[in-house]
Amino acid sequence: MNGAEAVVARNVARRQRLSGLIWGGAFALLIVSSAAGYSSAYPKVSDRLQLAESLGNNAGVRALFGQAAHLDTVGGFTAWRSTILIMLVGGVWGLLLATKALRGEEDEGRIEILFSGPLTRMRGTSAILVGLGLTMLTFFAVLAIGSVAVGVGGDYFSASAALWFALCLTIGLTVFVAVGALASQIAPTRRVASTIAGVAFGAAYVIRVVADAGSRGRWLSWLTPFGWVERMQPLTGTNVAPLVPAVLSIAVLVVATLWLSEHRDVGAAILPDRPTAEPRTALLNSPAGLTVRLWRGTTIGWAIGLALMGLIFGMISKSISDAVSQNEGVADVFQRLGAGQFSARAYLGVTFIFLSALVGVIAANFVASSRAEEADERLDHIVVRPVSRVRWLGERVAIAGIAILLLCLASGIGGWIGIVAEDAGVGFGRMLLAGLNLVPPGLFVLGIGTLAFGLVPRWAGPAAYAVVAWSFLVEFIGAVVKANHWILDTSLLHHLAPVPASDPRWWTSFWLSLLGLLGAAIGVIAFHRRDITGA
Amino acid sequence: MAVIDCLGLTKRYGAVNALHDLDLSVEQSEVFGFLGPNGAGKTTTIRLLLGLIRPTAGKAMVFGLDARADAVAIHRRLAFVPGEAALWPQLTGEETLHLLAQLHGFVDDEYRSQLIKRFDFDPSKKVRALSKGNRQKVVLIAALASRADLLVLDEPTSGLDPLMEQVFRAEVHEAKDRGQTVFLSSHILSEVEALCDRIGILREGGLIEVGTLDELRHLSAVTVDITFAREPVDLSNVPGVSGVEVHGHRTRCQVNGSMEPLLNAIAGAGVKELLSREPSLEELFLVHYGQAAET
Repeated sequence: MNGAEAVVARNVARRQRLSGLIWGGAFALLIVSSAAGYSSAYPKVSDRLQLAESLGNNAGVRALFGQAAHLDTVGGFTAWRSTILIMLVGGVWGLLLATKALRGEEDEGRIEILFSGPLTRMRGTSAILVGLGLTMLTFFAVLAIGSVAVGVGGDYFSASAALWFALCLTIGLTVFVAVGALASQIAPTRRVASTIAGVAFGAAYVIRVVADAGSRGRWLSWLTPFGWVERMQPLTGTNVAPLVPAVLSIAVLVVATLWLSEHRDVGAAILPDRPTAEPRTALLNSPAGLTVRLWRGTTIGWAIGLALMGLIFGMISKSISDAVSQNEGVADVFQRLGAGQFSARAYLGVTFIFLSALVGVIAANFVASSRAEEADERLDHIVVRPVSRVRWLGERVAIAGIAILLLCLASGIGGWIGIVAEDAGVGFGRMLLAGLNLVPPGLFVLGIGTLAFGLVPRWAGPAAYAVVAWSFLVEFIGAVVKANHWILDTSLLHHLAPVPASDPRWWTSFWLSLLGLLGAAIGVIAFHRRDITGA
Repeated sequence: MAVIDCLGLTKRYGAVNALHDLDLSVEQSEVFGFLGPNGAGKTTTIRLLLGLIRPTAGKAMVFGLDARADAVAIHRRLAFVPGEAALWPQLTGEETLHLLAQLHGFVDDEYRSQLIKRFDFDPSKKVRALSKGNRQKVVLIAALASRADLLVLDEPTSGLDPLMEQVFRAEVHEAKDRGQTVFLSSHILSEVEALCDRIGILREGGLIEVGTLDELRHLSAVTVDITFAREPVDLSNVPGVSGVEVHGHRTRCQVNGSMEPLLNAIAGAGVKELLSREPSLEELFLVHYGQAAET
């Protein structure tokens, strides 16, 4: 690699390093919580065998979480519990990482600067791919250190088994990074590239569901990264054969990416772009209309996602509760969380608390989008016209609030449909309430983010995301280690009641909403008084 | 009443003095050129006039109203064109023009169609597919079509080709004829020279010259080239003459103030040819910044 390529690769790696660290760390945390949670909830061998028996043979559970082998060991349970989750979340992260670094840079026109230098297109693209590889290496390092520390420290599994686990996951996710890279060559915009890669990802997931759920289609699991990682038997054995298709597919995708990047024009794509469109001006008559137009697409996407998650949780609630309720330790944990006796309701109550973290992320997203309008100077076009700033920001907060309300309702309704399908016996009103229960923390995040936007604009997005991340971490770890209640109190999630298992804490919800509104109001006033500042 | 009135306008960012004690006024239907290199404070002044930022000290008045406190009222009669048009990439040109017109509250539809034709703009394209120059056309058309009383233009022609630059100049002339006021910040000196009634030159956050082009020229030296039939006379001690350069029989020098001492000095010295040239705006500009570089 010559100097210019090294510079590009290092630049890409440096810009994505934080993201690799965060996700590697988050997944390591998931592994910690799985291993520690399992060993504290199932101390007795008889309990473990029972769990293995009931969950391992349940087709519905297999369809959602993959093959459950060796659930009677900490390693088996940890691998089963975290693999699918990490592959799902990490896979999406990997896709977006690649489409951002490749097609995203091209959209912004930055790649042209790169290719007008001493680099050819193929060598420039390969330099970016090397940068992405370095990011995955960072990710692997954090994940490996975390898993080895947990495995050895808690005496759950050996250091070599932990390393193998981290390697399996990283290789599996790298396949999706490569899918994103190829999609970036095919699609004309970053959005389309992410969609194409997302469709491929979704197809792989569906194939995995079929492969894991049925007994006939086991061979199908040889077709997807999900199946390869599963077949590598992390933490329960070491099967290197699936490395062949995994590494081979990465190689093929990378070669195809490089070939396409050399044989197309910069800025062009294999798929035709639609650079023109019929004007649709129905919404474009006011700042609020513009906001609705800009947010509509993503909000509908989120709504479908939340409804689907609600649906899945609703559908599995019964089988999970049937399987787990036989275990006293787990039932105890749920009782401590205030969910009462373990049941489908209790399971839904606890999972919906964690859904509220996702609602928080969406709320933070709205805040970050307002800051992006300002930082990228699109806001200038609005506020140099007779539109008051109070109106612009106030309407945005209101629209975000309504969107959050609708999204929460979608999750509740999705959950109800899932329950009806499985006859788990939770009513429509109850599930609607479970969805509504997620609104106040969402409003709180929106309010804190808006406050930061008014006072310290650069920190608007980070502050809102930090509230969510902190709440999630504290609740996640706090549930496993018995944390001090002062620390637990700082988590938003800790204040939520596990609806539908219990009633909402009305006063808490009221205060959270009020604090959110107050923060937003101060933020709007502060924004009115401060300077508009670009990036 | 002046359309724009700045009194002791000052903006500091921490220790950095972005703009210092600016006094400036622009009259109705005047085209005012605002010159200065990058970082001189042009954009800061414009953002103060638009009420996007608030002054550390002093006052910016537009139409006799406070630029910050009465921003909404002022903006009904004002249109702004930034130098870097950041627009919503997913909207088409037509959608963007519709939106900006609706936000402004008034648009001269017929004039807008004419502008689209004159600027040779294709409004069906999405903004993300537009080049920089074409994105610039969107904001220019939106601003001009609003027929606002005051046009605030911050390097409005960046990215436009020379043909479109000509169209732009014609539209500014038309705006002036209609009684609109134009505040044009630019560092394209030929543009300012061609369009502006008065010019202000900004340096390091302070206004160093204001006046018509003629007034500015009077302050500056005239370049004189003399070709002698024989050896040139020594001009270095003549009052008002400076920068003497001798190349064979030719002499070039700068003259400040009256020409008479020079003419007396060369009378009867066998002058074959004498050319005098007023400084271009570019030379004026460089003289001011050359001084800055030396001090």
